[in-house]
Amino acid sequence: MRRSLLVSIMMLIFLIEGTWMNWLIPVDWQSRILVSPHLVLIVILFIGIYWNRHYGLFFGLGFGLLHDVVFYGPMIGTFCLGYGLVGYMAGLMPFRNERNILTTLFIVAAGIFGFEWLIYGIYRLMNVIHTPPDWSFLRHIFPSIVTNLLLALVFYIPLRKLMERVRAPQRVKEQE
Amino acid sequence: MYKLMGNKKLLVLMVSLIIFIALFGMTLSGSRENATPPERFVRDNVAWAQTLFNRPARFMADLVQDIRDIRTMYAENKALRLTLTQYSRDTMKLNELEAQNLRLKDLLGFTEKQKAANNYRYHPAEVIAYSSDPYSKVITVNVGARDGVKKDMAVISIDGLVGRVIDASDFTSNVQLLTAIDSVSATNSESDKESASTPTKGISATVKGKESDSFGVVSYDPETGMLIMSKISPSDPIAEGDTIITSGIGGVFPKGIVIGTVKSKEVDKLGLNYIAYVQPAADFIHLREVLIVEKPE
Repeated sequence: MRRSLLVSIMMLIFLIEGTWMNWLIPVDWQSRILVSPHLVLIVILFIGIYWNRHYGLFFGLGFGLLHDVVFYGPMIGTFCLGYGLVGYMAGLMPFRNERNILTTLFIVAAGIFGFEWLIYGIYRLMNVIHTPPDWSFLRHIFPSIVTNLLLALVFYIPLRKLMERVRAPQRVKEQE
Repeated sequence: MYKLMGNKKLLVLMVSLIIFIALFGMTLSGSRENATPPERFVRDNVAWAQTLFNRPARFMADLVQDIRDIRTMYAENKALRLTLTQYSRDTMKLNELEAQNLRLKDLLGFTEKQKAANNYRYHPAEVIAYSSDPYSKVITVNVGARDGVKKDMAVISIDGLVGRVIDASDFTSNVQLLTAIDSVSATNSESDKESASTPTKGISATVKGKESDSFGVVSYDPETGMLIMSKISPSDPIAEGDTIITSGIGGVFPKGIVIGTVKSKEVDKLGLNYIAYVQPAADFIHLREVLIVEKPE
């Protein structure tokens, strides 16, 4: 029941990301530099941090696949792999036991950094894009990290409340 | 002791990587015809929900636009009145020319098929959603295969060419913007067979008014933010300020859609041909209504 609530909230966020974000982000940020909003990824990272890595992985794979199918462009699987991997990694971060705003935002930034490089790498490998990495980093990856960090900061309190309210049902054993 | 990865985990990771790479290869958009029914089903349903979200967004955007318009109203009105008189004059001329054209075609014995060749059908469509993927640049529009939209049809806005249909579901279709047509793979696409299956194909174009002498392939260069027209032969009369239109040679795109204006022209990397930088006519960022052009069979 609780998980289905989270799924429906994430579905809402997914819809908002596709329809509203393009209008909210200034035109200048979409031409000279290219900022891509990753609201769903932010929530997946929060799930990875506040619940555990398995939920991060499953939510990431699910919503990534949904994104790939709905916005089918060059191929299917990029966002699925990226979201899943980053959601899992967020749950592996060592200092997630002392969760506060700083560590959370750090993990979010690292996650978006990893995700952006991952899809850049996949598209470069599959011959879809050919922009050099330094150019991509300055014009697109770095602005995206900053913008998404701001978004994460704005939604930090509500997301944290949500995560604490809709708790993961059982603790999966943590030690390896 | 903290161990990064056990054997089992490593195996799972490797297998899933292989699965993903196989998935990428199988679903490359250049190599397959149509999306599978489950994909279409998901896409249509999500698009329906997205239209619900679009309504308030549109309302707000309209409101802001209206307030902004109040200031420029007077000047715009004046300019529009001027164009309107010009327009009515042009319409008169057009009617006359069209009648003459028809008469001449009859005289020359054109077949019905040839006569219908320029009878394009336009499907007006609303833009539903934008992908947050910075590289694929896909938008979803609310007409689909049920309305006659097929893969590879041209998509235009009132300013000019916007992109092409990359896949059509029953009620919606995905449009790849012109800015996703990568210049490197597009310029190589004819020379080697392999990249013919890459998802980005260039668009054959020509110069308005010099249709018979001019030819080039248009693609997007992300580094300059402009379109590049490549494979222009040295004898080509293309010059700065010319309007670039689609040539219709590819067979899929109709003839005569405005792409942009030439900003500069230079020798290409190999020194044999020329390339021209083209300022796109359409705005790709805040698209709302587009037209999908259907060519008669």
